[in-house]
Amino acid sequence: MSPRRFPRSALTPRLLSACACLLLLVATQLRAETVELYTWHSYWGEEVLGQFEVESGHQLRRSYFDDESVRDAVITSGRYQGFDIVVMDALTLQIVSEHGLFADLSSLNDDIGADNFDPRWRQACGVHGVPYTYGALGMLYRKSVAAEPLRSWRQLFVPPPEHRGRVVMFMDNIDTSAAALLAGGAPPYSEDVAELRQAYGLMRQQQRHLLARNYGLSYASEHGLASQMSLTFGYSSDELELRELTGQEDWTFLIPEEGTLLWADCLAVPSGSPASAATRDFLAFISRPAVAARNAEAIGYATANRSALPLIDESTRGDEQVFLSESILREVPVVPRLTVPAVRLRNRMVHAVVVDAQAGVVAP
Amino acid sequence: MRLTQRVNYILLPVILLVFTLAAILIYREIAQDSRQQLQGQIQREMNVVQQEVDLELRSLRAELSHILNSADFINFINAGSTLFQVYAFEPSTYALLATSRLNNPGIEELQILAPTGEAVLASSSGDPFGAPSRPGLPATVLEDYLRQVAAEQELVVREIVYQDLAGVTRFAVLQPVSPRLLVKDSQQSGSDIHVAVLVARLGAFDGLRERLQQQLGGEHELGFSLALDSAGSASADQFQATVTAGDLVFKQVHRLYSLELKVPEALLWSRLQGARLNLLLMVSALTVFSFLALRLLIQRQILRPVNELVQRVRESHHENIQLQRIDSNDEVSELNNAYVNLLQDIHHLASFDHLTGLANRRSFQLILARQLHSARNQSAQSALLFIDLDNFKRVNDQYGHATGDRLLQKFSDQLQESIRPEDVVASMGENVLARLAGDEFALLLNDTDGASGARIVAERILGMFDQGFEVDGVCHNINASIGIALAPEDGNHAQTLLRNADAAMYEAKANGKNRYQFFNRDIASVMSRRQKIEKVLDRALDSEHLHLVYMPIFETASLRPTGVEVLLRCPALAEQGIGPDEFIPVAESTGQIKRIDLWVLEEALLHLRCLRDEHGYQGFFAINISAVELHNEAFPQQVSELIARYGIDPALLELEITETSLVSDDADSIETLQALKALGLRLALDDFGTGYTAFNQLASYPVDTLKIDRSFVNAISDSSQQKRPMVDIILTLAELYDLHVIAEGVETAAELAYLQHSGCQQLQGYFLSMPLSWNALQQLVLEEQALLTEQREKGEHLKLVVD
Repeated sequence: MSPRRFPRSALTPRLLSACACLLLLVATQLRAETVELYTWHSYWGEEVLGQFEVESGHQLRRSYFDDESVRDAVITSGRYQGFDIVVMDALTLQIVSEHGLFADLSSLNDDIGADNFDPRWRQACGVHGVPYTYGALGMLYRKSVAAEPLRSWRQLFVPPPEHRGRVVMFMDNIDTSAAALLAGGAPPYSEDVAELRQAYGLMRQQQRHLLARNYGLSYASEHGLASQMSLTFGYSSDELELRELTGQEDWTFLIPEEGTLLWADCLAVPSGSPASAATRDFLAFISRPAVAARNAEAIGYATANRSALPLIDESTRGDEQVFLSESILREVPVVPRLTVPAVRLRNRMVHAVVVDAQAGVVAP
Repeated sequence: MRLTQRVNYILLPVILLVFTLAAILIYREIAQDSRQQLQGQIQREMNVVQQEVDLELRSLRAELSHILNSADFINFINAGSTLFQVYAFEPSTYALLATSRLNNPGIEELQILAPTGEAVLASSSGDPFGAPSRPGLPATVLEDYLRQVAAEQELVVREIVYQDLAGVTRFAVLQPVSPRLLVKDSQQSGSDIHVAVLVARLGAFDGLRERLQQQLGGEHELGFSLALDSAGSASADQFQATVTAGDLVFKQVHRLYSLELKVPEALLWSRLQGARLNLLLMVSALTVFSFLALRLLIQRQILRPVNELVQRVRESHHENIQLQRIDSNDEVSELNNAYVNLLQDIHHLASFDHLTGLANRRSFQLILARQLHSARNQSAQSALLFIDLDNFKRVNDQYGHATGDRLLQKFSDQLQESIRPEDVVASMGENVLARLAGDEFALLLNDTDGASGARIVAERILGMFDQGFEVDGVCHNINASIGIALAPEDGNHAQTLLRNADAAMYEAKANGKNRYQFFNRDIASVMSRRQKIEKVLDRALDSEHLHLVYMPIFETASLRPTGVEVLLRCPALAEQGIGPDEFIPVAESTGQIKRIDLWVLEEALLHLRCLRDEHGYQGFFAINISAVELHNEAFPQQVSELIARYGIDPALLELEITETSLVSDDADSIETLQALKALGLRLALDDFGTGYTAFNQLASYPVDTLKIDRSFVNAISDSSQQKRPMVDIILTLAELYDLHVIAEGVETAAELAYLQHSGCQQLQGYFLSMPLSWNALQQLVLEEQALLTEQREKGEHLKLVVD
């Protein structure tokens, strides 16, 4: 399970109910085509979607997953064929597309204005996906707790004394090991056993300082104002959420000096039947620079649409934690594909750390 | 041994034995209980552990089932692409396994093996970098299973429980897993069958061992062994408890294992330590308590009554019997009553004459004393009649003692009738009639009106004999002599009254028998005189204030002294004018006479020897002995000893017995006389003529000499006597029986002359010589010796002259 799209429904109940009413209204007025969307929660600007329905006359129906493995199971079971559009992370999309599960969208390049997208994301999504959003991995901490500003991934694994026992860490096979590799001065996607062994050591070492083995936002959501957390692992968009959830305004996001890794989400169309007109209309609609800009403003994620950037308002656009600087984007690789043994080793590393920690085995 | 002691010696061992036996039985029960309790406890624990194990197994199976049926695992196993599988599903599946391990911390290994045996998923702790290790199953279990799965032989779940060398108990499940079909479908083809392996540590056994060790006491090691028993399904779920060499062995057989627990005998023994101590204390306490309680009870209920009975018996004597009948049913009461009966019987025997059933002398005296005491208090008069049957001895002698007894019985009956309350002037108290001895009876009349009442009764008694007294058809000529003493006039005390009545009775006898005699002043004075004589004699005997005088006896023809009669003198009595005539009978009646006779005899023998040795005396000594000696069997022997002691020729001794003391046909007397005669001495009948000896009886008496009583000698000179003097008759008689004769009391010349003329051999009397003192006798003997010498010289001289 990747926590990359933490469900926000709990955060905006009024907004959601308003949307539901609107959808109901539209559906009853126009007996047009329906676009089935399988997506993370709160991953779309409601006004944007409303505009689409009004403009196109089509109806948008959303189904949500809150765990990538659930989505992947839906895909492998074949039931995903019931959806028109599925939000896919770039790596998974690449892997499953090799088995022909998603349609080649090359024919839509003109409709969506493929040139508007940053080639980096186009490459990541490949021919089977329309780039949607991207982001970076980093650390979040409370400035008021920290004796001095944090800089390094290493500080996440071997925290400064004031953060010890207050670290909340999520144990993900790729992301956690990448952070550990970075902390050890290795490339985040290294397949070098020695580097991985070092990363494994850091992961084990970190366990004793953990407040919880959880995603920071989940912890904050559970504990709210009583949160004891002062250091966690997350994404740029988590900063605002943490502030809201804990009421602690000193939360800050940083990309450590060792670098980071990037993620990219794509919109993919199941390969079972040809994409409907409505599907094509929606992909074209959402890829419009103006729509993409407004959508980015609504959801707080960076859009992969290069042409939309100038249209985004300055306050959002200037947030370097969301809209990463070119230097970072240049240095950091987009999630590459790892070999099976590398993934398997990462899986086993994480599992071993978790099992040992559960059993109370303390790392040296 | 006293009963109290015996109770102690008996009670304590018995109680101890009983309680010890009881304690042993209880201990056996306790031991049995303890063993059963232990067995139950261990069975419970083993059942609990089995349930725990089953629960653990169920939980583990459920966990495995949960994993294998989870969406994550199914997605994982069904993922077409390995890359997709490891990217998309392996993390969540591992997460699932981690959660499972969190839920079941006992899980040590959780692996999904490909048909090749390669681990597809391996959840193990420790280093993730090496290749996943094979699950640590015993021997070839896993290999065999994989082989069988590959050969499509074994598609069933295999479960084992086993123990490693370190004693850790584990549970392993081997289960076929199909990517597509339901795991329980045994028809799945083996080509892509995976095998799920779960290995978990079973905590229940460790818990069992710890709990039992804790509960049963730590110092004893419990034998604990676990055996794989895969083939034991037939005997599954059995519990056995057996005893092997004293140790308790429990065995529980489960489908997957058999568990054996050995409880050492020492533990069983030590568990009963407390029980043993408690029993010991209990036995001691109960023994002491029971002993004390029982002893107290026995003391109170048995021994004390017995002791009290003993005490009462001890304090009892015939006058004051403390014992009373007890109306109770227990043994002590029975003993008491039996004792009372016995005492009464003895008392009766001691108090009553068995022949007549009347009170005996002893009890009569008691009754008399009591009656007199009460009479004194009531100022009442009583009369005591002392009855003696005259001539009763003759009946005994002539008709035998049986007749005599019947006579006494009949008399006793009649006597009782004669004083029947209704016609008696005195009211009849208790047992006032008694037989005192032989033919002596006593009758106490209470509340009599003085002498007249007693007289009436006495006359009635005498009246019984008016026509003789008939017994067995024979009429016996017997009478009664009755002495009567009145209380309080004649005495206030039993002894006095009885003595006075006795004295009165003697007076009646003396006055001719067949009469009654009231005690009076004369009798009293006689008695007083007799008592005085008795006292004086006693003193004289003790202090030898007696002496002898010697009455010479002369040969009639020559008038020369040939012997002396030894006479006793008591100067103290003589001063009061009391001579032997009076004091000898008193001495005879008191028994003093025996001492007197022996004293006289010894003194006489001493003097005789003295005369013989010093003066060559050759005369004889005649010594009076009392008639009492005729009935003294020891007397001849005593005489013999004295004769021997003084070396006297018995022929020089003559013992004189008064004729009156001889009773015809008195065999005892004759025997005594013969015994004396056999000693070689001579016997003389003194005062001959005053008795009633039939002439023909003289022959039967072994006497040598008759001494004619002085009354007959004195009669010679009595001119009024015209008849032929009695002396002549006696002399004729003596001549007839060839007896020697000595005449006593020669006081005149005429008497001397007559006796010389009539041929009496020897004489004595005041005319010839007064009694001589010892010195005078010696003088006489000297003179006589001198005279004899002179005559002998003269005679020789004459002879010479004649010649």
